[in-house]
Amino acid sequence: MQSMSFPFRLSMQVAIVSTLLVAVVGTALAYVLARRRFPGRELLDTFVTLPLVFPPVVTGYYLVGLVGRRGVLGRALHAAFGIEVSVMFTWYAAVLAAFTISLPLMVKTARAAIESVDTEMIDASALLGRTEAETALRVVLPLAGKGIMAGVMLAFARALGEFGATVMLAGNIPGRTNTMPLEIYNAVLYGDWRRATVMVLFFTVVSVALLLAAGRLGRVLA
Amino acid sequence: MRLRNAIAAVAAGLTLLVLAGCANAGASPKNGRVSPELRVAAAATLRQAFEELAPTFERKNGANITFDFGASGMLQRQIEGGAPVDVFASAGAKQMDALLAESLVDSATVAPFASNRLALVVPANSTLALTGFRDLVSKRVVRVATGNPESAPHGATAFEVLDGLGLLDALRPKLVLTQNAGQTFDYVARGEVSAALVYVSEATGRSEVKVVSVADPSLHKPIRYEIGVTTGAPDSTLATAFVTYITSAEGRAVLKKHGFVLLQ
Repeated sequence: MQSMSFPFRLSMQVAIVSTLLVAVVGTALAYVLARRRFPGRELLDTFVTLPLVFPPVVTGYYLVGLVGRRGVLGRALHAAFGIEVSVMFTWYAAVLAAFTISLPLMVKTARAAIESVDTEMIDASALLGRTEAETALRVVLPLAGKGIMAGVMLAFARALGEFGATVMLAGNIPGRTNTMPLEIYNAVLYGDWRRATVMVLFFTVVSVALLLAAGRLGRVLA
Repeated sequence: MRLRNAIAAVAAGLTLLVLAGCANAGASPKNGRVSPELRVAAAATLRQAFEELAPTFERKNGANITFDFGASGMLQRQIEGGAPVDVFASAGAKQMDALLAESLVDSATVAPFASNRLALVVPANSTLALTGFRDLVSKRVVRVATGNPESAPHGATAFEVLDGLGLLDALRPKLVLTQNAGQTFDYVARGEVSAALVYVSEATGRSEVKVVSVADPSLHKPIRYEIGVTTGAPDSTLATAFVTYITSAEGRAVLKKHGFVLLQ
């Protein structure tokens, strides 16, 4: 059986990098959405949630329209700096796809966790003279820690299994961008059911484990 | 009251299912009469030519053709896996031979019907000023698309040509491998890649791309399109009629118009 080590390593690499980004950006977004009031707040929440509701290929379509050579960013970069930068067909594109798709899971979970932090603690911290940033880092986030961790785990599981947006943005290039879900698709397409089964079993075990762990950490899917 | 609602809902659901099932059954009503259905699996590069030829055949035979275009290798494996196909047209002898060996295609009906050439193609508005295959190693060429040689014949031909020219190792990092010729064309037409290696028929009559150069046929195995009727085809008369039509003078004329090389 052909080695599955490349798709495995690539999937891990993409999922880990994507989840690190999601953890930072997602927590920041969740905090802002939970703790701050500003015009357009719910609009931002809707916008962030869209990739959760869209079919992944639709998200992929929009991302191509953003970073593709003739996309919004592509053309802007070319016009402004005369450079042709494109992440398409690279593993960066796979990271972008995974990031966009898993971000809403993180934001929703973390926001719920942050909103459930006892406001008396936050008020006490402010009364004792801490700035909002200090309070956020020392009081709010630690108290919401379990929920945030749950969000990170869900985001990781989702990033690992991303297919629709990835195949549009990064392509399905053997040895370059064939992540595990894409490789499972290839295996089935080419009739190699044994290969597909091995990878599917891996996914099943990892996903179940992550889901159980995330569930334990908080009332995530209530 | 609730039980009655439940029964009504289930009855409605079942009715819908039955209607949907009738609609999907092998025949499709046309003007109140039921037309026989012909399922053709054909190489992606044949799309434009076959779609042009289909209406005439459908009219003459009162049939309804359903096409499945894709990489010949992928279609071959789907037929091996039991996909319901009546006629198979591949862009390579290899895929047809594999099905013949497994008796999935009726050898009496198999006929080669066209050939092709490998072209180096760029987006119509490309400013790269490439003159030939060797220019592909230039730094200005960022990415080159072609098919995955394992399943798309045009990719296999491209690899042969690049290898023959001694360019394969240098170009490998730049290659973006696609699932089929339609995708290769799409990538270069949209400018996502600097250039593409695809059959010249794919670029014929398409204004989004321009052909830079055509590979010397001696650099690759001859490209042979073959067509045949599958052994599982329910209406082999209709299927054979389609094969005859493709290989007829009318079929050949349309193929030639779309850039295919005719076999003598």
